[in-house]
Amino acid sequence: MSRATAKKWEEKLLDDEKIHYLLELGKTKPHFMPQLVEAFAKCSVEIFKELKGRRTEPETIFHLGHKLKGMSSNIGAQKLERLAAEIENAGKDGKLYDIDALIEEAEIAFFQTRELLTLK
Amino acid sequence: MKSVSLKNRYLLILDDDPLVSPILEQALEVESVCFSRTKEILAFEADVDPLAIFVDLHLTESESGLDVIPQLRNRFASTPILVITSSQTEESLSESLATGADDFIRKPLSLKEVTARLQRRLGDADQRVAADSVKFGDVVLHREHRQLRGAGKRAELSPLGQRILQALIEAKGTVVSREKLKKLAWNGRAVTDNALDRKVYEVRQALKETSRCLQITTLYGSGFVLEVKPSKSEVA
Repeated sequence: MSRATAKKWEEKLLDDEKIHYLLELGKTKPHFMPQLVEAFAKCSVEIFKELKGRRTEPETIFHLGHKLKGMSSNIGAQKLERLAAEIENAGKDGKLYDIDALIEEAEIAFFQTRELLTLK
Repeated sequence: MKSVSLKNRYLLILDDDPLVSPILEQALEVESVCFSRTKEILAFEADVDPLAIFVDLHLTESESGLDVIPQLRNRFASTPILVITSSQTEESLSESLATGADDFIRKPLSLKEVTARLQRRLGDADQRVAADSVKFGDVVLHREHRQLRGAGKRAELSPLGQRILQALIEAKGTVVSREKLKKLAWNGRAVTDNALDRKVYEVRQALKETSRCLQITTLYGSGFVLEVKPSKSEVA
């Protein structure tokens, strides 16, 4: 598979429609989008820190996954939203055997998303 | 206890998602006051009622927005309360509507939906206030919640105090006799002048808190009248 094809099949990090809408919404206020990204980044870092520290507590995992999912959906971070939903479900079902890998994958998606968002 | 001196209408938000408040502010072009914990929103005080209240159902492991909706409804009788939820279950939605919420919006926020629902609920709230309230001078009497509001403040009335004030408002500046007030307030039951005077005192105190221009004047031998206070120049 060529690099271009691989990129085409790669899951998109951002929901373009949502991002476009937020940029339109904030066009009268230059600080709107940077403030959103900063709030998103700050809160996500705290969530990941707590997820790692409380990885054996299903209820906490459920709650943190839910919070990350809601925030990601509001800023159009669609890949992170999907992974956060998986974390949420793992906590809800009490099936935490794969949670470390899931948190790691979500955190990578978060770093990539943050980088893309700061360019907007 | 957090107290804010907001002069204009604002959104009151209970949500632990830090993006909700700036997005709603920007979309609805209204300032907001946002809390992430239930105890914070219950301790909140302001001079002016919010335009609308948004409550997230899922807060922390031990806290739900559902827990505070009845108190918020009791305090802000005519303000629309909209629940924000990502829950897909009908149960939590019906529960939130039963506790006093007016509507719900699902996450992720669709701002077109938020705006449409809020406008509709604001229209409902206006109608509800109009049907439930009596305006006189610079005060409004909200009958369902027995509250007198004016000058950015509110005062609670007892059922008897409310009936007395309503009778005086309906008399539109004319004198209401003691006997008529007793009959209207106590439904024809025999009561002493002293009992009536105590209730009139309660209404006077409520007016003192909420009105800059109204007063109840005693006309000895005739009764009471609710009227506009004479201005200082008129007194001189």
